[in-house]
Amino acid sequence: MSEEIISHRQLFFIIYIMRTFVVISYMPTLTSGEALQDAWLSTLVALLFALPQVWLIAAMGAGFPGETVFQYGPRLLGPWLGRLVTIPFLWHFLWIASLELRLYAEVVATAFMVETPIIVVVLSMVIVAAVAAAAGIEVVGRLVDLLFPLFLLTIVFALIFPLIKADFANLLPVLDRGWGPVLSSTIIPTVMTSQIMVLLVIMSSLNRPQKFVAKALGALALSYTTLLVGVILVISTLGAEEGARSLFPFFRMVRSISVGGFLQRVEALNIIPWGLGIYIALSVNLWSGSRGVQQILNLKDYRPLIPPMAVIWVILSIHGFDDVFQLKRIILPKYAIPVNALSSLVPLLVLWAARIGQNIRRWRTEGRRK
Amino acid sequence: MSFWSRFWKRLRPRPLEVELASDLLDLPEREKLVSKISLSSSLEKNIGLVQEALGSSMDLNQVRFLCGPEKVPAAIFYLDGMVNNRSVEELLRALKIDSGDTNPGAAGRGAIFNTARDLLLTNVDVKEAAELEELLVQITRGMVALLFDGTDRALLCDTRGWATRSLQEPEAETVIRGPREGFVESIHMNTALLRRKIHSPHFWIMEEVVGRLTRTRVGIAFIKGLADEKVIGEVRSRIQAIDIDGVLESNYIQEFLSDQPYTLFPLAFNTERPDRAAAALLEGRVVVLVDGTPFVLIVPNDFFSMIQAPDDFYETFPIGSILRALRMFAFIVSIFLPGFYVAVLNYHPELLPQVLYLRIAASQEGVPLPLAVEAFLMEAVFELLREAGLRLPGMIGPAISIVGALILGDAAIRAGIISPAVVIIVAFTAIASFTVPVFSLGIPGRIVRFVVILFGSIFGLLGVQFIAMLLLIHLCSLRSFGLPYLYPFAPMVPEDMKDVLVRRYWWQRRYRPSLIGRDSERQPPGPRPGCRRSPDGTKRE
Amino acid sequence: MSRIKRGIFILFFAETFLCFLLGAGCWNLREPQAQAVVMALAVDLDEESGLFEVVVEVGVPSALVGGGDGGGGGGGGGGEQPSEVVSAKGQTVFQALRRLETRMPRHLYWGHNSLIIFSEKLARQGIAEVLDFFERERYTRAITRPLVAQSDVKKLMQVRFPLEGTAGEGYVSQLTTLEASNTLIPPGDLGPVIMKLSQPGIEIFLPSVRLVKEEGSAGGEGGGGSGTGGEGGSGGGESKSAPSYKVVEMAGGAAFIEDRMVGWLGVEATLGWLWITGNLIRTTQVISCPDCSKGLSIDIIEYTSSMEPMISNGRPRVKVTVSIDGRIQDVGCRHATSIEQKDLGMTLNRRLEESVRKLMRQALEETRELGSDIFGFGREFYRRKPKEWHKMKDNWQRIFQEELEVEFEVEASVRRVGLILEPLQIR
Repeated sequence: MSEEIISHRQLFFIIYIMRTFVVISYMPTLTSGEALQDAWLSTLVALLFALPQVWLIAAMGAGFPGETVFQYGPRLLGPWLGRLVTIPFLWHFLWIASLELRLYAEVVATAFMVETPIIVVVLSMVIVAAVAAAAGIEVVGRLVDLLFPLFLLTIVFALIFPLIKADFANLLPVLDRGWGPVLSSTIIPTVMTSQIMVLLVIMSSLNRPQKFVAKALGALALSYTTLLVGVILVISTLGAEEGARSLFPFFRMVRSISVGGFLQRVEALNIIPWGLGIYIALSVNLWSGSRGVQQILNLKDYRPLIPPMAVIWVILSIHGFDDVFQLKRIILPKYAIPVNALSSLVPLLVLWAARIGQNIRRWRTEGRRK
Repeated sequence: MSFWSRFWKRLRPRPLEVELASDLLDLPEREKLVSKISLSSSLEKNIGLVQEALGSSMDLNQVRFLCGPEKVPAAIFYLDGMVNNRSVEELLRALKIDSGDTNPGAAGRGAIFNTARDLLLTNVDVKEAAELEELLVQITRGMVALLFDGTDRALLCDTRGWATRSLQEPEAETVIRGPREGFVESIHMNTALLRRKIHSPHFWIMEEVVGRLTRTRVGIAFIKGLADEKVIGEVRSRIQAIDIDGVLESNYIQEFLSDQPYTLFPLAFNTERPDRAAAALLEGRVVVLVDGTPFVLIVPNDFFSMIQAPDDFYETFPIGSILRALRMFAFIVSIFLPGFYVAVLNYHPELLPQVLYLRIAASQEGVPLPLAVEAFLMEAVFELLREAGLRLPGMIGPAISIVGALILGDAAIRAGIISPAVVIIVAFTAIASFTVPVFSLGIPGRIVRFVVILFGSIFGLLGVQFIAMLLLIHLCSLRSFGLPYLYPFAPMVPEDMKDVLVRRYWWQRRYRPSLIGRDSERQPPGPRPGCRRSPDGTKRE
Repeated sequence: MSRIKRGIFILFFAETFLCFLLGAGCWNLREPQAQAVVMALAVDLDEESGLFEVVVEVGVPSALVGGGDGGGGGGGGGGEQPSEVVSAKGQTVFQALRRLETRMPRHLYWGHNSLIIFSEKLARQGIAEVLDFFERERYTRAITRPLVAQSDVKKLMQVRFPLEGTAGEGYVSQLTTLEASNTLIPPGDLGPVIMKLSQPGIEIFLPSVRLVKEEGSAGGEGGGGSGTGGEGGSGGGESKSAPSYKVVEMAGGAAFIEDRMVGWLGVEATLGWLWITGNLIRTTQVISCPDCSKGLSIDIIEYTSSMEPMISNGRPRVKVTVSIDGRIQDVGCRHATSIEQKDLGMTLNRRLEESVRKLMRQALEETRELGSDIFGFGREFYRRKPKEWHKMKDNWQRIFQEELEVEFEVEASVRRVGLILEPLQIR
């Protein structure tokens, strides 16, 4: 097993792509909760809520350079408790990845390849992700280096063209119903931020992870800024009510672009950043998951684990949700919060507690020595 | 050989000459036999050995004469056609005529050997050999073997000279502006061509010999102190590890040098141009020269070097950059265009403007074949034409492929079997694929193109994206001697990207590519040409 | 695993993979030759049965592009009809379309359809159902342009435009040309329509289309426009066969309440609406000369228009402010001095302002009669005075008709006169 290193910049891109693709595709601040035209405020508030979360994750990873959570978890909490506490992370990766996979497959199946059975779409993505994960995180890093400009470019294009038809007055009135609806729309995005948990595993491949914490926060901020612009534009072109009732508002907005009577139906161009996003997100999740399993079970190499994990993914994403309604429902606070909390937040907080405890102990013994 | 024949052989050992002449031995056995034989002091015996070992080949020439005042019997062997006749004549003159002036004491049996070696022979390279194998190898290299009666060693004199192609512009890599020399088949001349470009004493060329039968001379060239020692070491060890019967072209070695032999993409760059090779050396890369082929190998290789043409550096910055971008675009087009066309028309026609779509649909009316099959077929026909054009002799080749393409295409359109749109696409793709400066890079393109058509016709743009991603992942994971293939984009190294995307002016190119060689600074930070100097000549602006 | 076994494994997978790929078929593959390209769609309501009737115009590609390139049996254009009109009925729009497909040899392809015509009957009943189909269906797009028909829908679909191949293309070109050069219809496509439907305080206003008989015969039906206020837009042309009418006119529009049409608005009212809402793109106002009865045209180059909602004395009130920049385009009078003098210049401006105000008042009157707030006054209240809006929103239609005060403030300045200063002097 060779040492795989990625650079800070590549990880920055990875975080940005993973986060942006999810939020741009179904715009949780607009479609969940009741914020409507104040959704942009929700976005800002959600950013405020998300930053501490990311800080918790990144700082944890930075404290143990070269190690993944599955390695220092047992160290902090003891072999059995440590494994017990870190296993939920694996489930978390699995869950989030199959959710995203299904989401993207739904977009494609609804808007593009209507008659194609969804398994084909899902398979095609999982195969690519599996190949990328098997190639290693370093290759994924290089991919991201290469594809990030393309990602950014298509998103920028998709954000520029609607300006022609945008009526910013749609953003009024501001806060006519107070802060309640605004806050209600921030729940889901904050919950979905936990997809960044993969950092706990990837940061082991960084050099000098301590310096990365600021960059992680920056990536998140940039991603939310993109979302902000997107939300504002969607509200301005589609109207707040219309945007809130669509499954994929950004996509709908792109569909209505018509430049000079020539450039129309550019939503296929929008599929490109989504496709890229999903591939990166999937392969990162797959890689982290198999590394996790490898380390928990003390296996030699994680590569053979990838095919079975991929198969589980496919099955889960297809049979885990029977229809689109279920998909939407699972993103509701009722289900999402407990699942998320149990599988990611709680273990993270436990680890933090252990780490702080360790630090306190160390500080105390050192103090005594002096 | 069977047990019995071996048994009999052990009972009655036969003289070596008879052994050598025997038809019963396989090649490895012959080699083993020859390697065990040493020269004897008897001239006759030696002559016999050489003749038997070489099978009295028709080009083996032998001249017997008496040498020196003592009239020592001597003989020379050489292979006709491998030697420069004038050198041989000079040799004979020295031995036959000039030897008459030597002291009798120094010219006796036994002593004549040393006298000849030290005083008489004027060849530039004189070696000794005591083993038959060495003798034979050198004879096959074009040396003259000199045998004296009474000495159990032979002298080998360098008289090599053979017909070789004169320097011409390489056909596959032409430039508008730039040197028009190309490597030739003789490694001798190729090293000279390189030396003429790089006069530094730190430019080293190490020799290896590869191939049991061909014994091809392979040169590993690099600039010591600039090229990465690990790369040099790795190249040497890999070449030394090659155990093959023959090396006819540099590709044989290229496959052994590859880190990942199963990829379609070339991991070593081959070129016929000395200026390209010299440029690579200056960047800190290693060049491998192979005798018998004008194509040299350059490692480590990266993708974007193959998109560059030497022209980029010989013309000005804007045109160099634009053309480079154009070539990159053309490369992508040549792989993806037919698949993209099929995918869009069959699955996403709404991407096209209405009028365009109607026109294409109109041209598609009445065509019996499905679009995907049309595209596939036309591409296959085009590959056929291309190959046919290559194989036909000189004048006829291009003519037939052009005529064939025109007539075939036109007739097919008229008959309504193919739609004109597909023909346009295929032709455009072909033109785009010709812009790739390095032929080896066109090969993966040609193959992948068909796969893209297949996936595009089955899954539409999703399929194209699928293949594109797989291709990208593969490219990202490739390394050539440690250098990532898509450098400087894959691990993004911003300073080096400037040289790949656009071509900066020469006075701006301060650094060498950082991942390739050791010493980064190519030239000190200098001013723009045309600036004024301050009066005392020191400060510039 | 031994090499042979591995080889067999790989072969097996490759083979199943390929079979899967090729044998199972390509589910979504649509060959261009097998598609019938829909150029225009019209939806009508059949009164007796209550069924939807869809009328579709399908283009014939080879005839459309002139067929001269030898592709599939040329034969030159002109002989073939460039399009066919087919119709079918059904309980829902989608069902009607499915029935339609039973009458076509090919599969209907919507991807390039850019026009939808609603018949008056359907519009009065409600277009929400049709719009719902439009939004859900993946192949239709929001840039489709809507029209409400004053004439029979089938006849409209059979019109032949001389410069365009199919009726669909013709209508769209006429729409876009009109919008850009001489706006007499509400501009925009289905996107804003859907947005407005979902927003409170604004009603939709769709352009209307009708057939006009040839010059010489009696004028057309419906709220036609003539005289001051604008010209009737016409897209013209000869026909080839007797049944098609010659002129298609798009002027004015249909006002809706929610998704049901309530009435037509004439050209002047439409112009007024355009002025108030700021949707006017280009137009020419004709005013009369100061001292004679001839007309003087002023080309409106630039203008700004805004609506400001306020509450004064407990009553809702909207102030519409328009400021215009114009250029004289054509002068009917012969008096040399009629333009140059300064106070006459002022008169010109005053007259221009008055004519614009007149248009706006007309628009307000007609819409008040219908009870439809197509200007979006309510929406402005919602946006800028949300608290007051919440009190008013349930009664808004009544408030709009009776209580709302609307004040028009117009400021015009004619700055330029074209290339000549004085009109032609005939001596």
